[in-house]
Amino acid sequence: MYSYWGFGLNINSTIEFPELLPAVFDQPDVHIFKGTVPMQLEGDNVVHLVKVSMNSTAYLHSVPDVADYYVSNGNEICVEAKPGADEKSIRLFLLSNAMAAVLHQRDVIPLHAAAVYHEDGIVLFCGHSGAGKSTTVTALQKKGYTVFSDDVCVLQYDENAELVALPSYPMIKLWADSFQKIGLNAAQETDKLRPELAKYSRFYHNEFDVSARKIKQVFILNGNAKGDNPEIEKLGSLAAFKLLQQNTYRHSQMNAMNKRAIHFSMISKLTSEVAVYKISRPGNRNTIDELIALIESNLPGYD
Amino acid sequence: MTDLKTIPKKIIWLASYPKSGNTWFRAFLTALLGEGDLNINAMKTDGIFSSRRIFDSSADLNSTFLYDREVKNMLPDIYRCQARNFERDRLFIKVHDAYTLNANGAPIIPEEPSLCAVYFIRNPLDVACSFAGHNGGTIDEAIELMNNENGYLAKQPGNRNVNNQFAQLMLSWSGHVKSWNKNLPFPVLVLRYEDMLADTKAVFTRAVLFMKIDATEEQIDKAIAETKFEKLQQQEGKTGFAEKNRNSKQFFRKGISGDWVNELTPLQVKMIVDKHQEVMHRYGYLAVHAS
Repeated sequence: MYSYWGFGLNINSTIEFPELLPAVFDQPDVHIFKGTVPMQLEGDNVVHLVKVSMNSTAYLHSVPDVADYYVSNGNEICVEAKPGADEKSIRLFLLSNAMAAVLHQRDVIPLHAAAVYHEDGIVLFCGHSGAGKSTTVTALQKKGYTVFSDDVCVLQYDENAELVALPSYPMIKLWADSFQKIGLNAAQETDKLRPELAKYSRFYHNEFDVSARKIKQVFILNGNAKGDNPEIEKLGSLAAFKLLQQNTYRHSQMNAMNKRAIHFSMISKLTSEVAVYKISRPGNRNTIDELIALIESNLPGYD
Repeated sequence: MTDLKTIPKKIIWLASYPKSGNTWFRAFLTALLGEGDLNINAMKTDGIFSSRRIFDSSADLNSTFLYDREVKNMLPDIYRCQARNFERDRLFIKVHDAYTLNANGAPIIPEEPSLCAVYFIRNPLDVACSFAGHNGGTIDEAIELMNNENGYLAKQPGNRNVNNQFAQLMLSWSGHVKSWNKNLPFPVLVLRYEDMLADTKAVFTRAVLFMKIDATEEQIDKAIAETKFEKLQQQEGKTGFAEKNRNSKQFFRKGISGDWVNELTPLQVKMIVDKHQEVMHRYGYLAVHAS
């Protein structure tokens, strides 16, 4: 049995996850194991989408040629691998889908955001897949910033009812061309996320810290703007709310599991407390240096 | 996916090789169904087949983690799900993919939710000119793609897979036309762009009847008047057009037929005609060329 910390949870697993942070604890929050998943979910409250069915306590997901996953009660993930499936793919879809279902089942909201530490908190970078979140935090890491989380930040209220974020796990996912854009050595074949995918993992276990942090500021990235240069715009709280709620992680889960109210309350609190900027950059050229300059000159405390 | 028999037939595919009148027709449909002023950036049709947003919402997946063949294998179920979950009785979905089989051996366009398709065809000599403008590339590059048996639209460099649309296998121009016009399991109405220009009212009325849309002659007249090419062009000039390729100057470029005479070299004409003469002949484009 392996023991890990990830997404704010203590995880026991019969499957090894090099992506997660090894941890020691008495009581696990979540148990991951290999087994046989149910054929289907039934009931009036079950929402059926494509190869996935769910209600607020059960989630059944099939990834063709990879695995079937059954998530229940926010504390169990049962994995039934397909014949011949590779372990990396099995782990990737568990971390990106089944874990999101665990969080939603526990009334915790995963936000589609990467983050770096700044002053006594963190700065979030939200955006859809491909918007440049991972490339941005890796470029900032190269400049000396410490990465808080890649792709997902978990929002929750702390004991003082303050909104805080927890990191997911110490791995950044980058497309092959991002290594060159940022000026890093080319990635290794062994770092591929899936055998035929040109996307690679970068671990940062040594820098990873599991403490919850206050959010100091939010940047929403749009990586496919029509203009020629990156542009930044400070958003009013209503516009910020509208854009941020489009950056939910797995919004199909949020809707089907009836978690919209929790999500809205957290986003609403976030946009009332911190500055939210929208950065638009063209997708047809490498703008990473301009983008980083724009971000740094708009960080809290910049003179 | 549950019982295939319970999937309602409600998808009308608006299929074409790019630059063949598809967007003009969608503007007409928007005006017809909306009965209001046309805003080209708020078309009333229901997205494009290759949309990543539709896919990810329907499958609760981050499709940037998927291989292209996995996406194509799941697409039929995505549109069965769309047909089941949308309350309206018709969905109009634009598609530039050729009608092909995925790695599972199934058509990427599923039979069960498909009500019918309207297929737009345009003289490939004019398509080449318009397509070059659309891509911000040269006419030779457009011809190379149109002659490529394995031609893709929106394929990303470096095997990246993050754009709003998945890569779309179009085959060659002839391959595309043939794929959509070979005994498909739903009715297909072919509309020639040249006929749409020459007698807009007759052609659009035929399409409206084919799609079984209730509309009066007056409503059709009004929708045609609202979507005259000059009006679309004017609106693009004022507000821009979100569907324009960032490399092109304007989407609504000329909107005429036969202009290839002024734009193509004899060698370019030969490259297109040599490759596509069978299909050009079938749809009456070789006679035009000969004259």
